[in-house]
Amino acid sequence: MKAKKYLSLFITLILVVTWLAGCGGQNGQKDGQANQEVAKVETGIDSEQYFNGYLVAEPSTLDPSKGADNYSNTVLNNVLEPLTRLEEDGSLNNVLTPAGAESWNISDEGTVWTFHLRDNKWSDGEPVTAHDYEYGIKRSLDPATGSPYAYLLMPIKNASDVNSGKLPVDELGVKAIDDKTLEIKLEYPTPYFGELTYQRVMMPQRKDIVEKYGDTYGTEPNTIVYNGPFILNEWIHNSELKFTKNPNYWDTSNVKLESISMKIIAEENAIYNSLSNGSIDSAGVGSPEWIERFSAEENLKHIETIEPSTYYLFFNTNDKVFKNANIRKAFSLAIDRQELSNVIFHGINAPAYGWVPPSISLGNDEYRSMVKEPLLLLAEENPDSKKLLIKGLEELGMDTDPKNLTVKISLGGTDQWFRTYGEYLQQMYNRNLGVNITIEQLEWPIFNSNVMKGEFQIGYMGWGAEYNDPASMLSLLKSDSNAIATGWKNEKYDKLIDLAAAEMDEQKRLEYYKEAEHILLYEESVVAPSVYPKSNTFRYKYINGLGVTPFGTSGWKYGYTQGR
Amino acid sequence: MTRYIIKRVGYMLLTLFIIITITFFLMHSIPGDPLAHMAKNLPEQIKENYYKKYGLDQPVMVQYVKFLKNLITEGDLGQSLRYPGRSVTDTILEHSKVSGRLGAQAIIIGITIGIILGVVAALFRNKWPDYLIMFIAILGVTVPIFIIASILQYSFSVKFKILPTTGWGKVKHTILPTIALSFGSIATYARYMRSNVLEVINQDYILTAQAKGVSPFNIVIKHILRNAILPVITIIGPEIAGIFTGSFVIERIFGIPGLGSYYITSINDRDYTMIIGTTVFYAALFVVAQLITDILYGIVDPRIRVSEKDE
Repeated sequence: MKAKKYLSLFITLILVVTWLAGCGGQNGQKDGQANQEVAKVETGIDSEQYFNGYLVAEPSTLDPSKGADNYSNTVLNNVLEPLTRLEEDGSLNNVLTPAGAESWNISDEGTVWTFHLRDNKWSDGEPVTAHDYEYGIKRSLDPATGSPYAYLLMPIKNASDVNSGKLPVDELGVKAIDDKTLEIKLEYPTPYFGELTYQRVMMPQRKDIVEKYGDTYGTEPNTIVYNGPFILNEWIHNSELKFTKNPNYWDTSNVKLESISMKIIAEENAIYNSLSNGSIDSAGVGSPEWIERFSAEENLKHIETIEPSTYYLFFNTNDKVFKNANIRKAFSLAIDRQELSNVIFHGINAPAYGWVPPSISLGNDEYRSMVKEPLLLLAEENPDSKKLLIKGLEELGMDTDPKNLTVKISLGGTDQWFRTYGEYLQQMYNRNLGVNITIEQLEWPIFNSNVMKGEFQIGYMGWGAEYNDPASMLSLLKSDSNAIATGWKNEKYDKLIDLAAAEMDEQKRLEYYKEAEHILLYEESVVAPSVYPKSNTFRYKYINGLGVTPFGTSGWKYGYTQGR
Repeated sequence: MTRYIIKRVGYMLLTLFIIITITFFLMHSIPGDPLAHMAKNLPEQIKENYYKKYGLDQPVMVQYVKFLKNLITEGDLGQSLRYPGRSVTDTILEHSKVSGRLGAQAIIIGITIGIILGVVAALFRNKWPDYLIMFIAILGVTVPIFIIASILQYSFSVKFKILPTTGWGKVKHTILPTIALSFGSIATYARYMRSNVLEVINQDYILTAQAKGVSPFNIVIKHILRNAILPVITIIGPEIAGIFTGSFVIERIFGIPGLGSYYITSINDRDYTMIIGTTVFYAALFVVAQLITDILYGIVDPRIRVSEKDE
């Protein structure tokens, strides 16, 4: 019985963890302090520089092409040098910064990106060349590798045909012109391609090492070579990873931390206990009681960030009831988002009236600050959601008495939290719409498989954006995407997303996205966003310079301690 | 005895085969796949490549035959799907060592203290030591292990800061988890031992020994303990099998790299090779432990050996 309880706990954990894209324990938080401080306080920093962090689960593998979890992403960002890094400026905006590449140019049509690499060395002393980057990208797209994240690379010329085996890997539009120049041809101009250059599937890989170790490449510290700020020295699986500064790294003079330990701690209370007694320096805190407790601690600073994720209900548009847009609107508007975030999420998460979460930017500005959330307008125009429901039922020629309507909500979790959440939805819909709700609680993989088969009416999920562009959220609802199985098809929406994907002019892209989101939520209400999850990080005050933005990939590179 | 053991080994292999077969087909029949942990629906082509790479595109029957062949000819359980490139066999061996060490410590402490407490409780029946020990025993059985573990962790690593919160590698890392793990078995053995001793204590041969002037200490050691301990061996067997598989709860709380977590996570992750690997491992340990228990029983209790011969 005990095991069962923990099982469900674990599922919630997995879900929560996978939703919080890019949040690997200590990564991805916003902070009052930023990297530019580094220069100012050079002098007073501690003589012994180390950082103790944690990961919630064991990284799957350090093979950049194969793993698909946030924990190995966190590690890879710190031990390999991608072409670029997403760093943070003084006001915590993300800036695409040269890393493995010193500079790059984009051709006028936007389809050819040429990267000029800087001098850097692998941990075994070999020079890093453009061929390593070329090999890494090609290996990720090679169908024989079976890389889960390869789909991010589809904008590259011939990527889709190479990945399906229709074309040989050599036909891929990636080529090392010489040791220091990498040319990437794209299928179509892709304004957000820069955001892909720091993803794991584009990281450099050494052909000789990959071939030497075969399937065991990246499974142990000594079956991979490093060219990032840190080196993984010791990996006690499922327990601890130990890193030291990489002396061969090109920017080693800017790396202050000499050693880093990442313990693997899955248990929430163990994490909080570890933070309390100082065995870890920073922790993400999810429970309201502990947030309150740590807030009172003088030695800790509190960092609150909105994650680039949205939690949402979604409708099966092939269902006999939810094929009607007015009914979907009614079910979306009937959610009291403020109350939901207070009651169910203890005020930790923010109510969501849009599909694209805050903290996603278009160009240099936050998308949400430029586009009003569509559901606010819908709610303004329809103060009574019950009327919409009745209107929809009339349109369908169904019984218009909501009392006679029963709707099933499917949840992909079996633990207490999901039970409470289900009961809350039940009461809320009954109160606001007068309908009867049944709740179905399923283990995540079963829920997922039912949804894919279209065997549901309303489902509940979360999605974390994978790259910093509204496209990462809005393209999920295109007809040819099977990401969220609503069964919804809308030609105009598809067109807008396609237009935006190939538009280099930011103002025009903004217009396309704005209209697409309007269709998605205001006109059609295919999904009903409920909250934007927030993360709360507590960190000892002596810790400085660690990457804090959700998408940022500077990681531990600029971290240092002062006054430990 | 030899014939008996050969027969038992035969049954053992048959049992294992049945367990493997049932598990294999059951796990493939539950919905979901090893990509489920991403909590994202990937494009079809990506999934296809992934399935092909790990042989999941083949019919389940083909996968089953291939798995059996590798297992029998090379003792190879395949590659984990959740941790690409890691051999399931190595993973199990590596992590079961950790669980084994912790489990062994806990079981030794559990049995020793449990037996002593049980004997003491029985000898002082209905007096205060008995009440005290039985009170502790009831706590040990009823209080969930994660509460005990959490209390230990909070007191010793947060309040008094004398022991590490989590981690593995040094003796100090094993202290709290060992205590937490042994708590339950101390309670079980104490209760079990108490009732056994009470039963033995009233036997005629104890009276005879007393009448012959054997010292009370020798009576306890030679006559009471030897007879009362017999039934305890029955429960030790399966428990020894359990020590290598670890405890999911304790491992999570103390961040111990044992095998326990793999039992739960592999199922949630649909890490097929790991599910079947851990199942085979546990099943094999269990049947071997049963066999050893039965043989041990024969050694401790001559009557069983005799009845075997009669068969």
